[in-house]
Amino acid sequence: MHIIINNSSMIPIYEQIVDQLKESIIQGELLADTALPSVRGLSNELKISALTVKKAYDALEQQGFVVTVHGKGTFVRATNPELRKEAGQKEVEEGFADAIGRAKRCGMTRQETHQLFEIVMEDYYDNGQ
Amino acid sequence: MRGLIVKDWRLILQKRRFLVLFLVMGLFMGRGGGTAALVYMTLVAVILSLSTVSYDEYEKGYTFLMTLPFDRKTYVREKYVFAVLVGTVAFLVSCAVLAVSLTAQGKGLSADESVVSVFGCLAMAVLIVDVTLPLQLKFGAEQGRIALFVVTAAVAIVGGIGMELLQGHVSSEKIIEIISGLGQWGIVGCIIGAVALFTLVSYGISVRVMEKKEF
Amino acid sequence: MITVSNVTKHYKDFCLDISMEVKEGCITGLVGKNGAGKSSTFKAILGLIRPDGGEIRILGRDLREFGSSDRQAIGVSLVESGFSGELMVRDVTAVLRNFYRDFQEDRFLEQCRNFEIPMDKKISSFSTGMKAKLKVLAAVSHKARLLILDEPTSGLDVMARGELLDILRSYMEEDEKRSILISSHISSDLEGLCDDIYLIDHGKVILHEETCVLLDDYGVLKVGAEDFKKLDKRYILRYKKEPFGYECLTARKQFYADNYRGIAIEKGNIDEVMTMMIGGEEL
Repeated sequence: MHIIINNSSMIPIYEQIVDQLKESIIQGELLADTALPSVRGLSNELKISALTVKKAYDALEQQGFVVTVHGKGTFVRATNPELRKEAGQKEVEEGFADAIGRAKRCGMTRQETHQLFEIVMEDYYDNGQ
Repeated sequence: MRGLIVKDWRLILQKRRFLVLFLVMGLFMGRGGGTAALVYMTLVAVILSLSTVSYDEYEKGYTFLMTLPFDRKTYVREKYVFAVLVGTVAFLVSCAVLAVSLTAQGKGLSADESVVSVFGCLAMAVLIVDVTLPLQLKFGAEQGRIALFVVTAAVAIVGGIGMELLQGHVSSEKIIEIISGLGQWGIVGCIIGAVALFTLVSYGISVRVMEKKEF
Repeated sequence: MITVSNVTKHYKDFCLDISMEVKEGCITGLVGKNGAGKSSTFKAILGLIRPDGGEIRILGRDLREFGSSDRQAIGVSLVESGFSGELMVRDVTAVLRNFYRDFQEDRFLEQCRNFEIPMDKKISSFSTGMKAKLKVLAAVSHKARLLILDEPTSGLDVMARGELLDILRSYMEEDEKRSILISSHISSDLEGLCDDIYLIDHGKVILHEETCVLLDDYGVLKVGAEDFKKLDKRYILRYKKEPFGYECLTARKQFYADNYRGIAIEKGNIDEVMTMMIGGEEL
């Protein structure tokens, strides 16, 4: 798989790497025990600093997606559906926070927000969207 | 030191036209026989080898040069060694040329006068390096030349005054007597001794100059 | 690999007072205006000048005890100085072969060919770009553990710069423990290469930051005069008056992005950060 970095994005570069690698692992594109490119190798390919790649790898390890073996490299860990769901849930939570924040700022009450939430829930869970 | 010698050698070789010119002039001088050509060639060789200092200096070359893997002491040592090397090569070449031209002309050379003049010429070559190199290293190639001129003039003046003073006290006959008494090889020995001393002093000064220098 | 501790040197116009470090396996960049002290720092590290105070350690040894065999492990490329212009690449090859134990002659010659550097022409006849390429190629061709490069890409066009930077990248990939200290006026080169950056001005380090932090966390805010008054200035490093209001440099652009919706924020980059750190006002 190839990682593509958007230098002009406001999203930190290491985060872009983390997101793309995480996606690949969750989708099963990167299988368990696959070796990730070396820190220096990936940084050279992407033309970014090696520390950025290291930061990304460390973040992935912290989140449980990869494991670094000293002297050997960084390897993909076997994903379980749990991790997938967990990652997904985190994104949902972020989405909620964003939406609720906006609701509040444009002056909606708690009840109005909840109502709108239920309407959208219906669309997706009941009406098969 | 090898790297430095290779560098200086290749620098000199670049001056091909110069070398050819000197060779031709040397041949002309050699036609008359005698050791003038020898002296000329050896001197030229020595001066040529000293010119490597100005190449080193040119366009701030020293800044980069001094980051290469050698000690400053080695740098100084190489300059002396190189001068001796080039001088020796030139000397041998001109000896060969002289021998050939003399043989062709059916002339011979008296061994006696040769030995002293040979050593004298070599000694002069080394002395030139001894005086010039520290001056070049301390003041730069350009200033070094000026300094050399000044020093030569000073030595001439001091020497002249010295002679004047001596004449009053010691008769020149006495001096000639002493020198003749030494014999050919004695004189050579003295020359070698004096040159060795000079060279040691010069080397010491050069090393100190280089070690202190900033680039 | 390199540790510069409180190195000072007094010059006519300014005073050098530097502490910096290049870690093993890292590429460290040095940025600054002309005359800011970059070259002096390099010269001090290379032992070309003697500092008035402080200590420099290279490859674990005190610089004062550095010998010629230690220099085998260092590759150098400087701006104004290089091999004598009278020499040709053929000569340089012989010189390098006789200086460096681990000189990789075949590789060097091949690279020269790739870069179309003529073997039999005097270096003095080379263009600036060609001279620069030769210098860098010489520096990376003897398995040095540490590269010290002062503006190696100066005078090169965009294509050649990219090629040269790639040479440095592959050099680093060959051995994880190698390090590079590099200076440049072209910030984008450094942003895509260096792990950390030192900003130097008037002989002093005014900023030291990891490149990723500089690019990800630093930013320049653009606010109107009124908004500036109300702005939480805790994380503002420098500010500058502009016709539209103020420009503010921050190392926490996310804070302002989160708390001031719609505020104009520009991503940090070396040029901007340097301009603001040097030309901006402190609070």
